[in-house]
Amino acid sequence: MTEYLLRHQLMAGFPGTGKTTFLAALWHALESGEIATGLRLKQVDGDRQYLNQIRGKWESCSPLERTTQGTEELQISLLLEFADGSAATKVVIPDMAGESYLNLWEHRCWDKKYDDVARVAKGLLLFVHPNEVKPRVRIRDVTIPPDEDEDGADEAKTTSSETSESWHPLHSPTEVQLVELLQFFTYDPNCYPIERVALIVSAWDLVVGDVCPAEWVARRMPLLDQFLQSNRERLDYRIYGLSAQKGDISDPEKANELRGYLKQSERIMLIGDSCNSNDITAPLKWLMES
Amino acid sequence: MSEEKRSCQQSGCQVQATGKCLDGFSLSPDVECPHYKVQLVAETEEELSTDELLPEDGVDSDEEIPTPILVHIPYGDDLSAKSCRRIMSRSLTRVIVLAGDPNSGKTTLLTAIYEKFLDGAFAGYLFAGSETFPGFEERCHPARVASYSSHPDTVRTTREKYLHVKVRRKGAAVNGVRDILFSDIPGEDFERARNAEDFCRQMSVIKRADHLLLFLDGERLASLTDRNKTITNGRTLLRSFLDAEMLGSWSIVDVLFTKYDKMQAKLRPEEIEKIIAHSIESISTQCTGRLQKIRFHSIAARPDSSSSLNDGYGLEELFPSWVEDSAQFVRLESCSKQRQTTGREFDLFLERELPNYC
Repeated sequence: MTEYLLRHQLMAGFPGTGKTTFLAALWHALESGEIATGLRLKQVDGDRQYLNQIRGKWESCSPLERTTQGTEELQISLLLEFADGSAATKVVIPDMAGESYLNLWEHRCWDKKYDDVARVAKGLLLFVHPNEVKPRVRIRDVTIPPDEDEDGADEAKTTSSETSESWHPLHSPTEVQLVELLQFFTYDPNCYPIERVALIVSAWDLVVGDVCPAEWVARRMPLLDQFLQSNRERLDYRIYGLSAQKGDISDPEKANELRGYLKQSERIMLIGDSCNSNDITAPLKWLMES
Repeated sequence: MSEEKRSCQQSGCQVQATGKCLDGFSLSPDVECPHYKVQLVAETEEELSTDELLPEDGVDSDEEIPTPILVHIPYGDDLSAKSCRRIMSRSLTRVIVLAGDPNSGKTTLLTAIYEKFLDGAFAGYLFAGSETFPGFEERCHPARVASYSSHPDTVRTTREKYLHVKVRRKGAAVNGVRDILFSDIPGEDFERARNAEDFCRQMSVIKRADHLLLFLDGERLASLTDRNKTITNGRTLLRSFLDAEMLGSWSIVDVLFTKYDKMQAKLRPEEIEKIIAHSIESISTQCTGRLQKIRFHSIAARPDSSSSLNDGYGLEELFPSWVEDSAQFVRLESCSKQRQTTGREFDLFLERELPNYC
């Protein structure tokens, strides 16, 4: 019986950031072999029911159900090799619920079963959805209507304490929550051996303007960008923009157009560090190279 | 008597309160959602025994949902003086003490620095982390739209706490990261310190401070009623710390005229200049030769929206000094000058490689 190098990778991100869609598209690209990819599926390993189920929805452009706590697949394993046939590796990528990561910020704790998964991961695929980035908005940044007179303003000031809402962790900007997540995974290398993070901005087709993913992150989440730059020695990173659906599948016309692709892998678009292609395996390959 | 009640076991689901399932399932009697389960709820405390919380008939005890074992993030709360040691023991940490009367702008300055990093790199430094994110976020909240307040505000500090931030100078080499601890001490403690030498001595953090920031409230300086009292309070606080030997020839003190925007709104520029000059003279006279350094600056951490000053006015010039200069490091340097070399190979090596190290 052949023994392979075993590598655990962690997929992280808050709810609705595209983790399962990525997994579905990745599985399709690997299993179908429709297009050349940096990683190839060497052998099917273990139960594939879950992967086939989500892939079925992805290729028929049907919405994928959110992965919730209790319904996760923590032991998805793929036996992969580099395109040149070298280094066959068994990769374990759990599909964990976004709520588990949200709990880390909100309640400062998470279930040990998730922690056990994180404690063996060497690489991290971190997902951000461009429409799910909660910004920080200061009162000063909001324009006050010009017709508001001084008396009105004073009155509002005196009553503000009565009407104001107290702080809740979920009020915090997304980038703060993400930095805390990365800090947690890099706090003690003896506990969490993660060395690389591939930051994936999902639904990249929604991003308007001529920006690369790294520029987008620097503009929309400057704190996260600074954190990544400052901690590069501890946590190497690359930033990708991924469109795994290539459009809004809730639009029936668009969904039909996408279903028309004979090679569904060609729907995938990945741009970023050292790649601009349909090869969805590039971030995973880079993580495996560490 | 226990009653049967359905509730959702999924974290974050508000179905009980809002009637909306997080996963979009219907909530008919034959519920589809796998997390929406029957629970027995005891009506009185006496009923709340383990047995009664177990499912009744027809449910195998093997199907019980096990209590999850939780793993906690080992940091996040505001730091106490004791818990600061965790950070100080692992790196050469800058300790910045913010001192001044209640409502003089100490906490607002903390939030302003944090908010500046949320805008991007600040004063030539990149944000590299914080072990007290929730503390910063909570303090910033009253000035954010999410608070539903109509005007920016700051939460009053009631207990001595410390906030942590880690920064890295742009372009710095490996290990160029610096930990900084900012104190958030209630103004009332400084009022007490002004009047009681014993209490001054208990504030041991003052002695460890790399920088002591003395806050003089610009809004009160602009007021005829409060002006003299504000200057006197600042001066006597400094004197108390000096007399108690909590400050000394190693200390670096920055006197900050805060809320500069409010001074500008109430006074003419020449009046401001006169008041500041008087304050500087009043404070410097008694500190001459007793401190390593004393500097005076005007700042507006969170200027009023009607002001032309930018957020964090004056902080960009000060921040690099707080990161780079250290009262404690200077003490080590002065110590090394008196060092006698024993002639041992190790001492010679130390002298060669680390000339400034004692």
